[in-house]
Amino acid sequence: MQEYQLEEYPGLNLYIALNKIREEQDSSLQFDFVCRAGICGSCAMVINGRPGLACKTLVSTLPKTITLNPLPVFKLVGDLSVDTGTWFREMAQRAGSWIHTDKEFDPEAVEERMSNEQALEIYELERCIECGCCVASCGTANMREDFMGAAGLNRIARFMIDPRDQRDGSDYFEVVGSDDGAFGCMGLMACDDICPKDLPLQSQLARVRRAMAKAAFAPKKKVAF
Amino acid sequence: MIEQWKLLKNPRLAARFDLIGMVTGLLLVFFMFGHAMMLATIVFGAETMDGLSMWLEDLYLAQAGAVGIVFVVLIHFVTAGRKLPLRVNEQKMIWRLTRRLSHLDTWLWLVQVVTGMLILLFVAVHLYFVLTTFPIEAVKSSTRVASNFGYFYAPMIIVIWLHLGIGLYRIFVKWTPFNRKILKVFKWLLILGFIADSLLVLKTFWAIGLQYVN
Repeated sequence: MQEYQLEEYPGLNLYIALNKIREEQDSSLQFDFVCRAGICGSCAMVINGRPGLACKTLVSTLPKTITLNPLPVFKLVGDLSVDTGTWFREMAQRAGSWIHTDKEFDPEAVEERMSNEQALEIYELERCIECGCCVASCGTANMREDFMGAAGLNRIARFMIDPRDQRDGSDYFEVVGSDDGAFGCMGLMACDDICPKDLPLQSQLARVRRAMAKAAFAPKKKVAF
Repeated sequence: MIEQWKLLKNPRLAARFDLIGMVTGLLLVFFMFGHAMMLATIVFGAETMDGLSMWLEDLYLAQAGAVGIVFVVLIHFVTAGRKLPLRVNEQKMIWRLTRRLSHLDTWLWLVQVVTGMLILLFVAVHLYFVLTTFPIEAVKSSTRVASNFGYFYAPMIIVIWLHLGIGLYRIFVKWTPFNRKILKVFKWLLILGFIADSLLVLKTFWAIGLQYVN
Protein backbone atom coordinates (compact mmCIF):
# COMPACT_ATOMS: atom_id res chain seq x y z
CA MET A 1 0.00 0.00 0.00
CA GLN A 2 1.47 3.39 -1.05
CA GLU A 3 0.74 6.55 0.96
CA TYR A 4 0.48 10.13 -0.28
CA GLN A 5 -0.31 13.38 1.49
CA LEU A 6 -2.22 16.19 -0.13
CA GLU A 7 -3.60 19.51 1.08
CA GLU A 8 -7.36 19.74 0.75
CA TYR A 9 -9.13 22.79 -0.69
CA PRO A 10 -12.84 23.52 -1.27
CA GLY A 11 -14.31 21.64 -4.21
CA LEU A 12 -11.45 19.14 -4.47
CA ASN A 13 -12.67 15.82 -5.79
CA LEU A 14 -10.83 12.52 -5.87
CA TYR A 15 -10.20 12.68 -9.58
CA ILE A 16 -8.39 16.03 -9.28
CA ALA A 17 -6.59 14.83 -6.15
CA LEU A 18 -5.27 11.76 -8.02
CA ASN A 19 -4.14 13.94 -10.93
CA LYS A 20 -2.29 16.25 -8.53
CA ILE A 21 -0.57 13.25 -6.92
CA ARG A 22 0.44 11.96 -10.33
CA GLU A 23 1.74 15.36 -11.42
CA GLU A 24 3.51 16.33 -8.21
CA GLN A 25 4.39 13.17 -6.30
CA ASP A 26 4.28 9.93 -8.32
CA SER A 27 4.25 9.97 -12.10
CA SER A 28 3.92 6.18 -12.19
CA LEU A 29 0.48 6.16 -10.48
CA GLN A 30 -2.04 4.35 -12.68
CA PHE A 31 -5.73 5.22 -12.74
CA ASP A 32 -8.29 5.76 -15.50
CA PHE A 33 -10.36 8.77 -16.45
CA VAL A 34 -11.93 10.27 -19.55
CA CYS A 35 -14.93 12.53 -19.04
CA ARG A 36 -14.41 13.96 -15.51
CA ALA A 37 -18.19 14.34 -15.27
CA GLY A 38 -19.61 10.98 -14.14
CA ILE A 39 -20.53 9.95 -17.68
CA CYS A 40 -17.81 7.59 -18.89
CA GLY A 41 -17.45 5.39 -15.78
CA SER A 42 -13.68 5.07 -16.24
CA CYS A 43 -12.63 6.41 -12.85
CA ALA A 44 -14.55 3.83 -10.79
CA MET A 45 -12.54 2.54 -7.83
CA VAL A 46 -13.05 1.33 -4.28
CA ILE A 47 -13.17 4.43 -2.07
CA ASN A 48 -12.88 3.62 1.63
CA GLY A 49 -14.34 0.19 0.93
CA ARG A 50 -17.21 1.22 -1.34
CA PRO A 51 -17.05 1.28 -5.14
CA GLY A 52 -17.68 4.75 -6.56
CA LEU A 53 -16.59 7.26 -9.17
CA ALA A 54 -13.53 9.37 -8.28
CA CYS A 55 -14.82 12.33 -10.31
CA LYS A 56 -18.14 12.36 -8.42
CA THR A 57 -16.57 12.07 -4.96
CA LEU A 58 -15.71 15.25 -3.11
CA VAL A 59 -12.78 14.83 -0.72
CA SER A 60 -14.70 16.91 1.85
CA THR A 61 -17.27 14.09 2.14
CA LEU A 62 -14.58 11.61 3.22
CA PRO A 63 -12.53 11.24 6.42
CA LYS A 64 -8.99 12.64 6.55
CA THR A 65 -7.43 9.32 5.60
CA ILE A 66 -8.75 7.95 2.33
CA THR A 67 -8.02 4.40 1.23
CA LEU A 68 -8.33 3.62 -2.47
CA ASN A 69 -8.31 0.17 -4.03
CA PRO A 70 -8.90 -1.06 -7.56
CA LEU A 71 -12.34 -2.55 -8.29
CA PRO A 72 -12.38 -6.27 -7.50
CA VAL A 73 -13.72 -8.88 -10.01
CA PHE A 74 -12.12 -7.13 -13.03
CA LYS A 75 -8.62 -7.82 -14.31
CA LEU A 76 -6.06 -5.52 -12.70
CA VAL A 77 -4.03 -3.34 -15.05
CA GLY A 78 -2.05 -1.61 -12.29
CA ASP A 79 -2.60 0.49 -9.15
CA LEU A 80 -6.22 1.72 -9.45
CA SER A 81 -6.67 0.82 -13.10
CA VAL A 82 -8.77 -2.23 -14.03
CA ASP A 83 -9.94 -3.65 -17.34
CA THR A 84 -13.73 -3.31 -17.25
CA GLY A 85 -13.89 -3.29 -21.05
CA THR A 86 -13.17 -6.98 -21.54
CA TRP A 87 -15.75 -7.94 -18.88
CA PHE A 88 -18.46 -5.73 -20.39
CA ARG A 89 -17.74 -6.88 -23.94
CA GLU A 90 -18.07 -10.53 -22.90
CA MET A 91 -21.25 -9.71 -20.98
CA ALA A 92 -22.71 -7.88 -24.00
CA GLN A 93 -21.94 -10.86 -26.23
CA ARG A 94 -23.51 -13.29 -23.78
CA ALA A 95 -26.59 -11.10 -23.34
CA GLY A 96 -26.97 -10.68 -27.11
CA SER A 97 -26.91 -6.98 -26.50
CA TRP A 98 -28.53 -5.86 -29.72
CA ILE A 99 -32.04 -5.83 -31.24
CA HIS A 100 -32.84 -9.37 -32.39
CA THR A 101 -35.26 -9.25 -35.27
CA ASP A 102 -35.84 -11.07 -38.54
CA LYS A 103 -37.24 -7.93 -40.15
CA GLU A 104 -35.08 -6.60 -42.93
CA PHE A 105 -33.72 -3.13 -42.26
CA ASP A 106 -35.01 -0.52 -44.65
CA PRO A 107 -32.97 2.68 -44.35
CA GLU A 108 -35.65 4.57 -46.31
CA ALA A 109 -38.55 3.56 -44.05
CA VAL A 110 -39.90 5.66 -41.21
CA GLU A 111 -38.72 4.38 -37.85
CA GLU A 112 -41.23 2.15 -36.03
CA ARG A 113 -43.01 3.90 -33.22
CA MET A 114 -43.07 2.77 -29.62
CA SER A 115 -45.03 4.21 -26.72
CA ASN A 116 -43.56 7.11 -24.82
CA GLU A 117 -43.61 5.03 -21.60
CA GLN A 118 -41.59 2.26 -23.24
CA ALA A 119 -39.10 4.74 -24.67
CA LEU A 120 -38.63 6.42 -21.30
CA GLU A 121 -38.23 3.09 -19.53
CA ILE A 122 -35.60 1.95 -22.03
CA TYR A 123 -33.83 5.29 -21.71
CA GLU A 124 -33.79 4.95 -17.93
CA LEU A 125 -31.96 1.60 -18.16
CA GLU A 126 -29.72 2.77 -21.00
CA ARG A 127 -28.21 5.32 -18.59
CA CYS A 128 -25.82 2.58 -17.38
CA ILE A 129 -22.29 3.89 -17.91
CA GLU A 130 -20.63 0.47 -17.45
CA CYS A 131 -18.46 1.70 -14.60
CA GLY A 132 -18.54 -1.73 -12.94
CA CYS A 133 -19.43 -0.47 -9.44
CA CYS A 134 -22.47 -2.81 -9.26
CA VAL A 135 -20.36 -5.80 -10.24
CA ALA A 136 -17.56 -4.91 -7.80
CA SER A 137 -20.01 -4.59 -4.90
CA CYS A 138 -21.91 -7.81 -5.70
CA GLY A 139 -21.38 -10.79 -3.40
CA THR A 140 -22.12 -13.34 -6.13
CA ALA A 141 -19.89 -11.63 -8.73
CA ASN A 142 -17.03 -11.54 -6.21
CA MET A 143 -17.40 -15.27 -5.55
CA ARG A 144 -18.33 -16.57 -9.00
CA GLU A 145 -16.68 -15.09 -12.06
CA ASP A 146 -19.34 -16.29 -14.54
CA PHE A 147 -22.15 -14.32 -12.89
CA MET A 148 -23.51 -11.63 -15.22
CA GLY A 149 -24.04 -9.13 -12.42
CA ALA A 150 -26.64 -6.40 -12.15
CA ALA A 151 -25.21 -4.68 -15.23
CA GLY A 152 -25.85 -7.81 -17.32
CA LEU A 153 -29.35 -8.39 -15.97
CA ASN A 154 -30.18 -4.70 -16.41
CA ARG A 155 -29.09 -5.03 -20.04
CA ILE A 156 -31.41 -8.00 -20.53
CA ALA A 157 -34.28 -6.06 -18.89
CA ARG A 158 -33.67 -3.23 -21.36
CA PHE A 159 -34.19 -5.56 -24.35
CA MET A 160 -37.19 -7.25 -22.72
CA ILE A 161 -38.94 -3.88 -22.71
CA ASP A 162 -37.98 -3.05 -26.30
CA PRO A 163 -40.89 -3.94 -28.64
CA ARG A 164 -38.50 -4.20 -31.60
CA ASP A 165 -36.68 -7.16 -30.05
CA GLN A 166 -38.43 -10.37 -31.09
CA ARG A 167 -36.86 -12.60 -28.45
CA ASP A 168 -39.38 -14.30 -26.17
CA GLY A 169 -39.11 -15.70 -22.64
CA SER A 170 -37.48 -18.96 -23.72
CA ASP A 171 -34.85 -17.08 -25.75
CA TYR A 172 -33.93 -14.95 -22.76
CA PHE A 173 -34.00 -18.06 -20.58
CA GLU A 174 -31.19 -19.50 -22.69
CA VAL A 175 -29.12 -16.46 -21.74
CA VAL A 176 -29.97 -15.74 -18.10
CA GLY A 177 -32.09 -18.67 -16.87
CA SER A 178 -29.29 -20.11 -14.75
CA ASP A 179 -27.23 -19.49 -11.64
CA ASP A 180 -24.90 -17.39 -13.82
CA GLY A 181 -27.83 -15.11 -14.57
CA ALA A 182 -31.11 -14.28 -12.86
CA PHE A 183 -30.97 -17.08 -10.29
CA GLY A 184 -27.42 -16.31 -9.18
CA CYS A 185 -28.54 -13.03 -7.59
CA MET A 186 -28.78 -13.46 -3.82
CA GLY A 187 -30.63 -10.20 -3.26
CA LEU A 188 -27.93 -8.40 -1.26
CA MET A 189 -28.70 -5.25 -3.28
CA ALA A 190 -25.34 -3.55 -2.81
CA CYS A 191 -25.58 -2.90 -6.57
CA ASP A 192 -28.81 -0.95 -6.08
CA ASP A 193 -27.38 1.05 -3.18
CA ILE A 194 -24.03 1.81 -4.82
CA CYS A 195 -24.88 2.50 -8.51
CA PRO A 196 -23.49 6.02 -9.16
CA LYS A 197 -26.25 6.64 -11.71
CA ASP A 198 -29.04 5.52 -9.36
CA LEU A 199 -30.39 2.97 -11.82
CA PRO A 200 -33.48 1.10 -10.54
CA LEU A 201 -31.54 -2.17 -10.35
CA GLN A 202 -33.68 -3.89 -7.71
CA SER A 203 -36.85 -3.62 -9.79
CA GLN A 204 -35.03 -4.72 -12.96
CA LEU A 205 -33.42 -7.76 -11.31
CA ALA A 206 -36.87 -8.71 -9.99
CA ARG A 207 -38.40 -8.20 -13.44
CA VAL A 208 -35.86 -10.54 -15.09
CA ARG A 209 -36.20 -13.08 -12.28
CA ARG A 210 -40.00 -13.20 -12.59
CA ALA A 211 -39.80 -13.51 -16.39
CA MET A 212 -37.25 -16.33 -16.12
CA ALA A 213 -39.33 -18.20 -13.51
CA LYS A 214 -42.30 -17.96 -15.88
CA ALA A 215 -40.17 -19.18 -18.79
CA ALA A 216 -38.93 -22.13 -16.72
CA PHE A 217 -42.49 -23.49 -16.59
CA ALA A 218 -43.45 -22.63 -20.16
CA PRO A 219 -43.73 -25.51 -22.68
CA LYS A 220 -40.37 -26.29 -24.24
CA LYS A 221 -39.68 -25.23 -27.81
CA LYS A 222 -39.16 -28.06 -30.26
CA VAL A 223 -35.72 -27.81 -31.79
CA ALA A 224 -34.85 -29.86 -34.86
CA PHE A 225 -31.22 -30.64 -35.59
CA MET B 1 -19.33 -22.35 -29.36
CA ILE B 2 -22.11 -23.37 -27.05
CA GLU B 3 -22.37 -23.24 -23.28
CA GLN B 4 -22.54 -26.86 -22.28
CA TRP B 5 -25.05 -26.46 -19.45
CA LYS B 6 -27.60 -25.85 -22.18
CA LEU B 7 -27.01 -29.39 -23.41
CA LEU B 8 -27.82 -30.89 -20.03
CA LYS B 9 -31.03 -32.84 -19.76
CA ASN B 10 -32.76 -30.20 -17.69
CA PRO B 11 -31.23 -26.71 -17.91
CA ARG B 12 -34.29 -25.41 -16.02
CA LEU B 13 -33.05 -26.96 -12.81
CA ALA B 14 -31.52 -23.72 -11.47
CA ALA B 15 -34.87 -21.96 -11.82
CA ARG B 16 -36.71 -24.81 -10.15
CA PHE B 17 -34.23 -25.06 -7.30
CA ASP B 18 -34.53 -21.33 -6.77
CA LEU B 19 -38.33 -21.53 -6.65
CA ILE B 20 -38.29 -24.59 -4.39
CA GLY B 21 -35.91 -22.76 -2.06
CA MET B 22 -38.31 -19.83 -1.93
CA VAL B 23 -41.49 -21.92 -1.52
CA THR B 24 -39.99 -24.09 1.25
CA GLY B 25 -38.73 -20.91 2.93
CA LEU B 26 -42.24 -19.43 2.81
CA LEU B 27 -43.73 -22.69 4.15
CA LEU B 28 -41.31 -22.54 7.09
CA VAL B 29 -42.20 -18.88 7.68
CA PHE B 30 -45.91 -19.77 7.87
CA PHE B 31 -45.13 -22.76 10.05
CA MET B 32 -43.18 -20.54 12.46
CA PHE B 33 -46.02 -17.99 12.58
CA GLY B 34 -48.42 -20.82 13.49
CA HIS B 35 -45.94 -22.37 15.94
CA ALA B 36 -45.44 -19.03 17.69
CA MET B 37 -49.19 -18.44 17.94
CA MET B 38 -49.83 -21.92 19.32
CA LEU B 39 -47.06 -21.58 21.90
CA ALA B 40 -48.47 -18.20 22.90
CA THR B 41 -51.61 -19.98 24.18
CA ILE B 42 -49.54 -20.73 27.32
CA VAL B 43 -50.22 -17.12 28.31
CA PHE B 44 -53.88 -18.17 28.81
CA GLY B 45 -52.85 -21.07 31.04
CA ALA B 46 -51.52 -24.62 30.78
CA GLU B 47 -55.02 -26.07 30.15
CA THR B 48 -55.53 -23.96 27.01
CA MET B 49 -52.22 -25.11 25.54
CA ASP B 50 -52.84 -28.74 26.47
CA GLY B 51 -56.28 -28.59 24.87
CA LEU B 52 -54.76 -27.33 21.63
CA SER B 53 -51.92 -29.86 21.60
CA MET B 54 -54.34 -32.74 22.34
CA TRP B 55 -56.53 -31.63 19.45
CA LEU B 56 -53.50 -31.53 17.13
CA GLU B 57 -52.31 -34.95 18.30
CA ASP B 58 -55.76 -36.54 17.96
CA LEU B 59 -55.82 -35.43 14.34
CA TYR B 60 -52.16 -36.64 13.96
CA LEU B 61 -51.29 -33.13 12.82
CA ALA B 62 -48.52 -32.77 15.42
CA GLN B 63 -46.89 -36.08 14.46
CA ALA B 64 -47.22 -35.60 10.71
CA GLY B 65 -46.20 -31.95 11.07
CA ALA B 66 -42.96 -32.84 12.84
CA VAL B 67 -41.95 -35.30 10.11
CA GLY B 68 -43.08 -32.93 7.36
CA ILE B 69 -41.18 -29.98 8.78
CA VAL B 70 -37.95 -32.01 8.97
CA PHE B 71 -38.32 -32.77 5.26
CA VAL B 72 -39.11 -29.16 4.39
CA VAL B 73 -36.11 -27.93 6.42
CA LEU B 74 -33.82 -30.37 4.63
CA ILE B 75 -35.16 -29.47 1.18
CA HIS B 76 -34.82 -25.79 2.02
CA PHE B 77 -31.25 -26.33 3.21
CA VAL B 78 -30.26 -28.15 0.01
CA THR B 79 -31.95 -25.72 -2.41
CA ALA B 80 -31.18 -22.43 -0.63
CA GLY B 81 -27.74 -23.67 0.40
CA ARG B 82 -26.59 -23.80 -3.22
CA LYS B 83 -25.52 -20.18 -2.80
CA LEU B 84 -23.31 -20.85 0.22
CA PRO B 85 -19.64 -19.98 -0.17
CA LEU B 86 -18.27 -23.49 0.27
CA ARG B 87 -14.81 -23.05 -1.24
CA VAL B 88 -12.10 -21.33 0.79
CA ASN B 89 -11.50 -18.86 -2.03
CA GLU B 90 -15.19 -17.91 -2.11
CA GLN B 91 -15.20 -17.48 1.67
CA LYS B 92 -12.17 -15.19 1.48
CA MET B 93 -13.71 -13.09 -1.29
CA ILE B 94 -17.09 -12.63 0.39
CA TRP B 95 -15.46 -11.89 3.77
CA ARG B 96 -13.16 -9.27 2.25
CA LEU B 97 -16.06 -7.67 0.37
CA THR B 98 -18.36 -7.63 3.40
CA ARG B 99 -15.74 -6.13 5.72
CA ARG B 100 -14.80 -3.40 3.24
CA LEU B 101 -18.26 -2.54 1.95
CA SER B 102 -19.97 -1.77 5.29
CA HIS B 103 -23.32 -2.51 3.64
CA LEU B 104 -25.96 -3.78 6.05
CA ASP B 105 -27.81 -6.09 3.63
CA THR B 106 -24.53 -7.79 2.70
CA TRP B 107 -23.74 -8.29 6.40
CA LEU B 108 -27.26 -9.62 6.96
CA TRP B 109 -26.74 -12.23 4.26
CA LEU B 110 -23.76 -13.53 6.24
CA VAL B 111 -25.96 -13.49 9.35
CA GLN B 112 -28.47 -15.59 7.42
CA VAL B 113 -25.80 -18.08 6.39
CA VAL B 114 -24.57 -18.50 9.98
CA THR B 115 -28.07 -18.62 11.51
CA GLY B 116 -29.09 -21.18 8.87
CA MET B 117 -26.32 -23.51 10.04
CA LEU B 118 -27.20 -22.94 13.69
CA ILE B 119 -30.89 -23.64 13.04
CA LEU B 120 -30.02 -27.13 11.79
CA LEU B 121 -28.35 -27.84 15.15
CA PHE B 122 -31.08 -26.18 17.23
CA VAL B 123 -33.92 -27.95 15.38
CA ALA B 124 -32.22 -31.34 15.69
CA VAL B 125 -31.84 -30.98 19.48
CA HIS B 126 -35.32 -29.46 19.93
CA LEU B 127 -37.05 -32.19 17.92
CA TYR B 128 -35.14 -34.91 19.76
CA PHE B 129 -36.43 -33.71 23.13
CA VAL B 130 -39.98 -33.02 21.92
CA LEU B 131 -40.39 -36.34 20.10
CA THR B 132 -38.81 -38.49 22.83
CA THR B 133 -41.15 -36.99 25.45
CA PHE B 134 -44.30 -37.09 23.31
CA PRO B 135 -47.16 -36.07 23.80
CA ILE B 136 -46.63 -32.32 24.07
CA GLU B 137 -47.87 -31.04 27.43
CA ALA B 138 -47.54 -27.59 28.94
CA VAL B 139 -46.14 -28.84 32.27
CA LYS B 140 -43.61 -31.08 30.52
CA SER B 141 -42.43 -28.24 28.27
CA SER B 142 -42.34 -25.78 31.17
CA THR B 143 -40.29 -28.13 33.32
CA ARG B 144 -37.86 -28.63 30.45
CA VAL B 145 -37.48 -24.85 30.02
CA ALA B 146 -37.03 -24.30 33.77
CA SER B 147 -34.43 -27.10 33.97
CA ASN B 148 -31.97 -24.67 32.41
CA PHE B 149 -33.15 -25.58 28.89
CA GLY B 150 -34.36 -21.99 28.65
CA TYR B 151 -30.74 -21.02 28.04
CA PHE B 152 -30.90 -23.22 24.93
CA TYR B 153 -34.24 -21.81 23.74
CA ALA B 154 -33.41 -18.11 24.23
CA PRO B 155 -30.61 -18.03 21.59
CA MET B 156 -32.65 -20.40 19.41
CA ILE B 157 -35.49 -17.87 19.34
CA ILE B 158 -33.16 -15.04 18.30
CA VAL B 159 -31.43 -17.15 15.63
CA ILE B 160 -34.70 -18.40 14.10
CA TRP B 161 -36.46 -15.03 13.89
CA LEU B 162 -33.33 -13.34 12.51
CA HIS B 163 -33.03 -15.99 9.79
CA LEU B 164 -36.74 -15.85 9.02
CA GLY B 165 -37.02 -12.04 8.95
CA ILE B 166 -33.96 -11.55 6.74
CA GLY B 167 -35.03 -14.41 4.46
CA LEU B 168 -38.57 -13.08 4.01
CA TYR B 169 -37.19 -9.59 3.30
CA ARG B 170 -34.84 -11.00 0.65
CA ILE B 171 -37.65 -12.93 -1.04
CA PHE B 172 -39.57 -9.65 -1.46
CA VAL B 173 -36.42 -7.84 -2.63
CA LYS B 174 -35.59 -10.53 -5.19
CA TRP B 175 -39.07 -11.00 -6.64
CA THR B 176 -40.96 -7.72 -6.26
CA PRO B 177 -40.35 -4.06 -7.09
CA PHE B 178 -41.51 -2.95 -3.59
CA ASN B 179 -39.65 -0.06 -2.02
CA ARG B 180 -36.79 -1.44 0.04
CA LYS B 181 -36.97 1.30 2.65
CA ILE B 182 -40.49 0.16 3.57
CA LEU B 183 -39.50 -3.52 3.39
CA LYS B 184 -36.61 -2.84 5.79
CA VAL B 185 -38.98 -1.31 8.35
CA PHE B 186 -41.29 -4.36 8.09
CA LYS B 187 -38.28 -6.68 8.37
CA TRP B 188 -37.10 -5.18 11.67
CA LEU B 189 -40.64 -4.91 13.04
CA LEU B 190 -41.16 -8.60 12.30
CA ILE B 191 -37.80 -9.70 13.73
CA LEU B 192 -37.96 -7.63 16.91
CA GLY B 193 -41.70 -8.20 17.40
CA PHE B 194 -41.47 -11.98 17.21
CA ILE B 195 -38.27 -12.13 19.29
CA ALA B 196 -40.02 -10.09 22.01
CA ASP B 197 -43.17 -12.24 21.74
CA SER B 198 -41.23 -15.51 21.85
CA LEU B 199 -39.06 -14.41 24.78
CA LEU B 200 -42.20 -13.40 26.67
CA VAL B 201 -43.72 -16.83 26.00
CA LEU B 202 -40.44 -18.45 27.10
CA LYS B 203 -40.55 -16.45 30.32
CA THR B 204 -44.11 -17.69 30.94
CA PHE B 205 -43.02 -21.31 30.40
CA TRP B 206 -40.09 -20.71 32.74
CA ALA B 207 -42.32 -19.27 35.47
CA ILE B 208 -44.75 -22.22 35.26
CA GLY B 209 -41.87 -24.72 35.12
CA LEU B 210 -40.18 -23.32 38.21
CA GLN B 211 -43.21 -24.29 40.31
CA TYR B 212 -42.68 -27.94 39.33
CA VAL B 213 -38.87 -27.98 39.35
CA ASN B 214 -38.77 -26.62 42.87
